[in-house]
Amino acid sequence: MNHNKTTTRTLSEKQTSSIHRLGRISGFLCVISMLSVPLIVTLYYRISIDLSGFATTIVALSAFFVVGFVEVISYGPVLGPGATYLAFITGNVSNMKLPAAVSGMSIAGAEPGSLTGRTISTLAVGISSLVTTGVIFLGMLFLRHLLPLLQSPVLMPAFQNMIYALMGAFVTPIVAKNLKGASVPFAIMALIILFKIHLNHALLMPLMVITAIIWCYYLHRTGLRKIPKQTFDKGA
Amino acid sequence: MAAELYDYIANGMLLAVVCGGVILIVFVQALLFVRQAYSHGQELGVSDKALKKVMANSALFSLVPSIPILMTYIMLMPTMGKYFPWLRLSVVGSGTYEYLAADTGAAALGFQGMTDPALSAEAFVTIMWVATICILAAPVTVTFFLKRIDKTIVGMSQKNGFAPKVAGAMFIGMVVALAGPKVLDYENPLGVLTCVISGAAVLAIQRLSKITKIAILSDFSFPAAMIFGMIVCVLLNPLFT
Repeated sequence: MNHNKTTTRTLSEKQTSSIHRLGRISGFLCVISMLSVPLIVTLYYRISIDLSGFATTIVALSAFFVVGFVEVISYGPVLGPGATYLAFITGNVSNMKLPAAVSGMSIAGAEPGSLTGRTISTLAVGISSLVTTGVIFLGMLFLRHLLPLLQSPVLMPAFQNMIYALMGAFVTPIVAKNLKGASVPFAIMALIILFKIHLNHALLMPLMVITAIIWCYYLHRTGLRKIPKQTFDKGA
Repeated sequence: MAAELYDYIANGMLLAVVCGGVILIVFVQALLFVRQAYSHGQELGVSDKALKKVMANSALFSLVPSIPILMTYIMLMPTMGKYFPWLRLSVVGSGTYEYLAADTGAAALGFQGMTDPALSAEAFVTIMWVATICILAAPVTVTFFLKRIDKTIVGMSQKNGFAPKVAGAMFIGMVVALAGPKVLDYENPLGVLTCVISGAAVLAIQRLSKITKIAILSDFSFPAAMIFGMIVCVLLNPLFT
């Protein structure tokens, strides 16, 4: 028994270490290569930057710095490290990578946060990234042929409401399994929407996460609900 | 002249090559992670069949949401050229962010917005810089701090009491923050109905899978329910217009 536990821990440490090595090296290369695009264009064409406009826009878009940081903290525990490295380089985290990861873990019967869950999540997010990159590339090549489909008035409502369809399919099974835990955060969200309190994503996400932690802690203390433990060393 | 130079840069071969190079690096990163995760899965005793099922589901699940990204590409292309939007929508960016960054940048530089036909080469390059820098918070955070963050998460999961359950509670909060504004969006009744229908469909398909013992139904319940919701949305649209 102890031997198995030690083996699993060694395996998890070995895997985690290789994930971080790949993530840090490839992430660094990606960040540098992203910055190289405007740099190469600026230097090659000898274009001068409008520093005042640059500074004004940076300030106007500074909320995205906060959103980026908050998203990493919020999604990281669910996605696991491999998927987090990938998802935050390839983008579309909430509307594509997270649902793909959760769906993959659900198929494999793995808990988010478990060793298997983290592996499955990485696999799902990796495939999702490859597919999206491929679709955008093919879309760019064959745009002329796709335009009638993409701009079809009949299909337009489906594309405009796609995120609603995605959220319904993604969230319903999770909420159905966690009715008590989700009840109070959903009630607070309903009040926010009802009273038209405008909160941007950078505020809404931590507010809901903190509300859920406090509410689940209360349920845990009173024994009203058993919250699934995020067992890191669990094999499946 | 300024507009011609701008068009030359935005649709030029240099930008095509540089953007293609970055996308290739990110593509290779994804391939390496897929290969690593597949081999980690095998080490953990997950069957090849289960791993392939996850891959197939993820591919199918990602196909449909990729279509609106192409629509954003069409929207950005007249102003930002062919290649920069290709890069930004393939790597890290999102439709909303890219449009906002381009429009805010153009306005700050004295133009009417990103659709201003007088947009200059200087404005285009400045927008490229701004859009790149402002979206880098998350990639920089994961590259330099994720190891430490992950160590804290793993440490918490090995404690007793409520600590290991914090991630589960965080997940619930995150789901509510993401889905709440859509599920409760009373200003778009067709959207809410689409959400409810796809939600009911996913539960129905999973239930059917249990009754009939056809596992594939459950495996593809997410993409199937999403597509079903979108089809019903098209059919119900005339009632809402």
